[in-house]
Amino acid sequence: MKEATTFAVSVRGVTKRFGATIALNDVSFDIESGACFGLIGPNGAGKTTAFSIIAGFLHPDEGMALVLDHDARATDMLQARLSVLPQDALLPAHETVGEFLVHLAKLQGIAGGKAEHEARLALKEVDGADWWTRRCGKLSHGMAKRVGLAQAFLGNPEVVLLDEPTAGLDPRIAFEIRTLIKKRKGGCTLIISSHNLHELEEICDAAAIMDHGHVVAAGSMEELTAAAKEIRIVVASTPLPMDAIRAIPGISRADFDKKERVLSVHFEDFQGEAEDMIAQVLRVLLDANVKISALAKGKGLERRVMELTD
Amino acid sequence: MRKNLRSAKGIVMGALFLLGGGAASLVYMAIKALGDRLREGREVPEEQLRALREEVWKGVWNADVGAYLSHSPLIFIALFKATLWFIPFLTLMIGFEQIAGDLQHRTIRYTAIRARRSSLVAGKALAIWAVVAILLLALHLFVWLVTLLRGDATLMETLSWGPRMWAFSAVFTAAYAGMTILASSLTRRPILSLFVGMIMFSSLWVLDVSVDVVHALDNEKYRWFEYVGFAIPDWYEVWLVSPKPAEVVGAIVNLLAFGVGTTALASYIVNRRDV
Repeated sequence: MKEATTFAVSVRGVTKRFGATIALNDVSFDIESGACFGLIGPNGAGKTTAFSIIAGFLHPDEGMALVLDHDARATDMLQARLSVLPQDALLPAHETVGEFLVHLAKLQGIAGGKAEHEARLALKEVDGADWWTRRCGKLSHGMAKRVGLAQAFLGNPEVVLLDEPTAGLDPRIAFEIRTLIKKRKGGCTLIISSHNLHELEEICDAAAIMDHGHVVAAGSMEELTAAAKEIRIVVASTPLPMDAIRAIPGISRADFDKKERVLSVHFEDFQGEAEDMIAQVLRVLLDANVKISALAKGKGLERRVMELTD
Repeated sequence: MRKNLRSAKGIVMGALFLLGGGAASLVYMAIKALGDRLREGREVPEEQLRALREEVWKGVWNADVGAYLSHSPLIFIALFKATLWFIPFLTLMIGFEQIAGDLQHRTIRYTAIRARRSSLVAGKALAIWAVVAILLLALHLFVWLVTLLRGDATLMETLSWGPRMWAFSAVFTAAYAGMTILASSLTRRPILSLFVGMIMFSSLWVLDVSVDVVHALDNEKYRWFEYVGFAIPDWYEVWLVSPKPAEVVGAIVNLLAFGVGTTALASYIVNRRDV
């Protein structure tokens, strides 16, 4: 009987150098099967290098990357099980979209007639059914990105790597691509690298935050953003009943930033769910006739990344 | 292969090949017309013509080959010899960017995640070979047709020598297809690969000429240098047109081995490199 894979991807002590530059320095993290995992970090953090090592495009100088229990470069074992949307790879300009997708489908072992069927299906999924006969070189940036996404989802691979899937796209197309990715969630392991932290916070279950070639934090999105331990409330009116808030059982700290008009409430030792704490704090605020503008669980991924990276 | 044939470069190459076929036929016709004029209507015995052909091919290759080829229509052998001259250039023009282009634009990332890199390299080498062989066939077919229409060779002679010479050209192409894919795998920039290929092929040509010169010198002191010839694809053309079947087979095996060997080296390089 085949042993169940706990981790879809395991990166173990990977170091990668480009000349004198150390792009990755002893990086390790695991990605659970079926998860939607984000790789986060500023430019030069090592996200794309980590990504390329997981895809088997780059050789690590030390350590190794395992995908579905196989070395990331074991193409034979990972054929049709691992796919990627590379950020900066151009589509072959002279091929039509149909030819390109059918070619890739055949390369990953889908037989003749079925290859075209699968390719058409993948293209339809990205709303590109009409582009079948268009040359890849004639596609707009948004269309090319969707074709890239279609090839990544071709044949339903088990692990899909998406490198900056919405970079350079207008908000409407970016939204549509996010919707497409969300539709795939749960059906495969998704690994997304992006600068768009709101996007990652919205889509991903877990993430690794990278900086200067190191993983500086990794875990579930809830852990990373302290969503179960902190709430932030933007208020429109003061004064605030700070003593009453601090008196709520389970609250360890409550601060008010007058400039930002943000009330931060911390409850690290609270045993209940964050929603219960939100209800209690809101009740106190509303009883004191405080006007509330916004509320968020946790400190937000953006703030967390700013704290952890230079 | 289809992509190569349909690309602007493929179409231009195809047109050039057909023009080459046309030019070869025209040159042959002009030489023939000049010969007819010089003879001033006098009939030249076939034996004299055969002896002339023998002398020509003896000069190009050697006495055995000269005697053997003297029985063949001049145009087909001349076409074969001419073809060998431009096969390296044409193969390089068709294939220099096959790997380098994919590396430069990282298009290889779409394919390398789905198939073994060695399979991709082998596929591209085969595609270059097939494209040049098809273009050569178009050129040769053109010449066969003109030769038949002008009555310069019988149907039997055309069918006997024409396809054989094309097949030898195609085998010769295999070695250069492998070397082209090797040149293409060495850099990420197609233009650099083109230069590398040109340097590679020019060096082989210089070596081949040097071997011929050493052979002509017939000096015992430099005899060892003649063995360098075995490492040059061009050296095997004399075996390809040899009357001895063992030499023909030897040439085919060696030229194919060149193609396979250089493709294997290109595969190793692409396999080792970051893409």
